[in-house]
Amino acid sequence: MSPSEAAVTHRISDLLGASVAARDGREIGHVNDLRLAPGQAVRGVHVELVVEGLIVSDRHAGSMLGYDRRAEQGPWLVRAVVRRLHRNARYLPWSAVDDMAWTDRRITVDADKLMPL
Amino acid sequence: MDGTVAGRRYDAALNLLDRQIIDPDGGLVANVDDLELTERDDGRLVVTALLVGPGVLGPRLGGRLGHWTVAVWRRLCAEENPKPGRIDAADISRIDSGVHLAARPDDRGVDGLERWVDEHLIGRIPGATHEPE
Repeated sequence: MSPSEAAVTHRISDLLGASVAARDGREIGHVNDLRLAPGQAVRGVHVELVVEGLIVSDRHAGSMLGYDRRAEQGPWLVRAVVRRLHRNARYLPWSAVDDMAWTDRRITVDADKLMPL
Repeated sequence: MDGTVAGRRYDAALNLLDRQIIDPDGGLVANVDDLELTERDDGRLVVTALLVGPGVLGPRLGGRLGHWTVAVWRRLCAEENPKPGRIDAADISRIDSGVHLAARPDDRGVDGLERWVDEHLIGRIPGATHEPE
């Protein structure tokens, strides 16, 4: 079933790479990924997936390849390179998003809510 | 209360984009080229569909290649304003290294890139449908 005519839809690609700024206009970085969490509703046989937060990085350095998930994931050399590239990456809960300018692909957030991955 | 519950978390780009979509018979349907998000009344974004095909892959590629991909797709589609292939999130049964569906998708809307190239480009080359001599 398609969303109703009134429903506002977007694409993940509208968010990936979008610039992230603090309330005072300070540039923080770009959206590197979106974390999805199971919601309370079930769509078909699978729970719905809700955007729970953003992974924000200060550079376009590509995917983190999952190296933010497990501390000892190898190979260690790849782990070291990926972590070096994304050393300033942070997690931001969706509740800290103040404004989404979809056309400009710019997100204003409460920077105090940024937390380590 | 943020409307989420305990359970596995997925990173959209890492765990879903470009993953293989698999039908209930194990058939390969397409790759996940983008995800449709719908705004809920509380402002939260919910994944409502998997989007597939050159119409959504092109913008992700960006640059001339992305522009060319979308332009050729539009040119060769029969409809004046073609829409990308869409698989409702309600049809997802499981997510692991691929995205598994509970039902076979409607072929008309889910032409993966390979199927699209086969139908629109390769299939139009004279002799493409002839039996080998």
